[in-house]
Amino acid sequence: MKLSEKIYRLRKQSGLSQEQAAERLGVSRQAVSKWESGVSVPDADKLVAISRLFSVTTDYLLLENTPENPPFPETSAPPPSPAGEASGKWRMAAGIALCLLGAAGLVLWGGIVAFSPAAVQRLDASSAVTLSGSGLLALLCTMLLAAGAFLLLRKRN
Amino acid sequence: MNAKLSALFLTLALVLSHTLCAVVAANYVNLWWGGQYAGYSFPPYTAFFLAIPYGAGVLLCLGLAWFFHRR
Repeated sequence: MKLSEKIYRLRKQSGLSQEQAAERLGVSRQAVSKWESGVSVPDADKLVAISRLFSVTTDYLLLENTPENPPFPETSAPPPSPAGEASGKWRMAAGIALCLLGAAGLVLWGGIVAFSPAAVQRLDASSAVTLSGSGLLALLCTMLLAAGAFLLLRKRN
Repeated sequence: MNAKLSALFLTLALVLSHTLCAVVAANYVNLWWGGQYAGYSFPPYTAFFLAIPYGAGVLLCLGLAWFFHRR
């Protein structure tokens, strides 16, 4: 079996679209399409990335007389499950949403502080805690941003 | 996707840094005026404390932009 067919088969078996595979490999969708149609051949570093993505050896990808079923190296991680994929997407969306919410809150609060200091004074006067209420708002927005960043930067399982 | 996210967080960092300047400047002027004419007890430099949450936000957004740019 040729390299192009192997890449196509492995991608289909993993349930990834050309776009998803391209994103994970750090290339364009067109590059994946060209690899699969045999128009071009991936570079050495991309071959290593492909072998890691699909959990096969580079020998399997490069040598033509290899068995139909690809060997899975013992050290490699199993292919991502659809459930894990979905939770990763949700985490990403939640992280971005929290970051946007936090940043929007900070900008809004900044607008109130700059254009309506009286509103800030009223908020501080109505605060039930010793710290100023407006300061707590800023802290809350920053914490939202930090929580979003944590979700985005957390390593995928 | 990663390039778009990197651009988004870079824009957020830019917006937050501009807001930081505006908020600190407005509050500084307010506190200075209050100290001169309305008997405020806080010195004007306390306005710089307002830069803390914005600075943290800018750093976080820059870090995320760099992270998505590298991926």
